[in-house]
Amino acid sequence: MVLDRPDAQLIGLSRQGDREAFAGLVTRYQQKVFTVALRLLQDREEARDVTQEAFIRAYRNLSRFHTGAAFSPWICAIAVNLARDCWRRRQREPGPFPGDDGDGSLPDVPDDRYSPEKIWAAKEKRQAVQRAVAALPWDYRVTVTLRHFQNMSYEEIARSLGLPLNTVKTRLRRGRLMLQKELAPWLAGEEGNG
Amino acid sequence: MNKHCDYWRELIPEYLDGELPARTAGEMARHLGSCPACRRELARWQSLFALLDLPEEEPAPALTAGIMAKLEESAPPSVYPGYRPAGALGLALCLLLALAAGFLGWLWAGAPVPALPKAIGVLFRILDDLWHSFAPGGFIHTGTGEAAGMLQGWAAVAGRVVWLFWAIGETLLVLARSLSAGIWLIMGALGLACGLMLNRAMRPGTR
Repeated sequence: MVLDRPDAQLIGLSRQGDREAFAGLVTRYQQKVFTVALRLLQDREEARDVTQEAFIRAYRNLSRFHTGAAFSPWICAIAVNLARDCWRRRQREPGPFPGDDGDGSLPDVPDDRYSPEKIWAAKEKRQAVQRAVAALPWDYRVTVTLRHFQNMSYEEIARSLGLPLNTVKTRLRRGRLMLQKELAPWLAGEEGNG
Repeated sequence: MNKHCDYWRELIPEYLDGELPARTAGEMARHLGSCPACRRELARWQSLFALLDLPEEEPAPALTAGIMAKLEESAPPSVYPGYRPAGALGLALCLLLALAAGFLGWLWAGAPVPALPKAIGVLFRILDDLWHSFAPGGFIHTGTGEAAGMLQGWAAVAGRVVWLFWAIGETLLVLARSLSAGIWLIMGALGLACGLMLNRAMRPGTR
């Protein structure tokens, strides 16, 4: 079974042109990559395109992948670069905020233990967080996304983005301070709950 | 709040990220244990981190199929490794070609040649001497007990090697001085441009 194999083995086989092995990598990491793209772009269509393109580029450039390195930061870095291009294109052609689908529908919260009010509040909170992250300057948004939504270490972020460690720390700190300010009403609630 | 607390508060996010060195993290824990104001700051950061703890998003189920369908249309992964030696070789070849073309052009244009054949002649004479030194019957085969002879032989070879490098240097110098700096610059730039184009052509596709 392809999915039982470790990344290194799947990468080795993919390099030899084994598409089934690469499909295993796609299945394993597509959710991560899609999440990064969605958090950065706030648009499911664009995030899907970015995810798709990221895997295609990864496949074509597998020879550049350093054997022994982790696949996840590498594919996420490709997705971040593609998302940046997409975001820049969007900046040149401003339209409605992509997070607003217009129908007011919100993503489902899988946990159904709460009352409808609580589910709605959770959704609202989640949207507020997504909007706050999407409102960050691009460089801060990327570092915050990779740290909080991908659980990457400072070192991994620095390597993925080709930045000095101190730059990553600074961007992360500034981004978080902005988020603290933006999400102040929700933070008061969290502290009250905690 | 004092300056000491300022220092620790700066480090709270890194502490929560688990990015502080073990020793600093231990000191931070001790400080937090004794400072209610810093504990409140910690709670603020913890609540922000909790807010940011969103679940991963589920992509459309057809995503994998879409990616694999696109891959079916594309070429297999490139076999060139990351540092692209083929590209580097191309670059070196192009530079060499540009230099050779420039040199031939210089000769064709009726360059003053006396110094060049002289330098090349010296080079060949030394090479010939070296060849005969190492050939059967040369000093290496003078016998095992003749230490003085061996020493003399090695000294002669060392001298010739120095002379060889001198002659190579002289040849290069004659070549270098034969053209103006501007021509060399143009040839170098042309070679570099050719090399970069070739390098790019040999690179695995990224688009």
